[in-house]
Amino acid sequence: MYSVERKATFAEHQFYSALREQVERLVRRYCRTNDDDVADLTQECMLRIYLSLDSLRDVERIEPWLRVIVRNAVYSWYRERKREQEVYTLGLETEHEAKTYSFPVDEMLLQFVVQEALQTLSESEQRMFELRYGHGLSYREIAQQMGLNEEAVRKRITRALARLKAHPMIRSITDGW
Amino acid sequence: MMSCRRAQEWLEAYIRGDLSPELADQLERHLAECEACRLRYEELKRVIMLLKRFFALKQRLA
Repeated sequence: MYSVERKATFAEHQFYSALREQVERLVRRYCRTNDDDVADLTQECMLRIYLSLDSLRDVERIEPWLRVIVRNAVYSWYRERKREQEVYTLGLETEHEAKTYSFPVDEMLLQFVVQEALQTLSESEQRMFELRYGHGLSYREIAQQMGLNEEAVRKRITRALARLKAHPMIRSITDGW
Repeated sequence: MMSCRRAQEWLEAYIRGDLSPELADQLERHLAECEACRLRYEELKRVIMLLKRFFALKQRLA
C-alpha cells in the first residue's frame, strides 16, 4: 500500500511538473516579459487551471483548454499592469516623466490585443491590413500586389474591419477612448 | 442624401483621406445628419488608429 501511494504521489508530481512546464511555455509565447513576471503569471495560471478543472470536458483536448486559460490570464495581467501604470503616472510631476513610464506597457497591451484579434482574420485579410495600415498603400496598390481588383480589396477591408471592431478584446481597448 | 449602407462602405476610405472631394462632401453631409453613422465613424477611426500603431510598433521591433 505504501509503495502504491508513493507511486501515485510520484505520478502526480510528474504530471504537475509537466503541466507547469507546458503552461510556462504558453505564458512565454503570449507574453514577452522578464523571468519573474513569467513565474508569477505561470503561478496565476496554475491556480486558474485548478479552479477551472470542472470545465475540462475532454482530457485529450487539454491544450486548447489551457491556451484559453493562459490567454485570459495574460490579458488580465496586461490590463492590471496598465491600470497600475496609469495610477503611477498620475503621481508623476512632469509630462516627460509620465510618457517615459506609461508608454511601454501600452505597447505591450496593444501588441497582445491586436495580435490576438488579427488571428481571427484570414491570412489575406491580415496581409491587406499590413499593406494598408503598415505601409500606407492605396486600394489600387494593394489590388496590384495581391492580384485582385480594387473594389474587392475595398470590400474585404471594410468587412474585415467590421469583424475586428466587434472583437471583444479590441472593444475593451477602444471603448475606453 | 447618401444612404447609411453606402456611407458605411466609404467610411474607411474617408478616414484614410482616399475619397474623391465629391464623395467626401456627400459623406460629410450624411454624417452631419446621421448620428448612428457618426458613431460608426468614431469607432472605425479608433480601430484604424489602433492598427496603425500596431503595425508601426511591429516594424520598429522587426
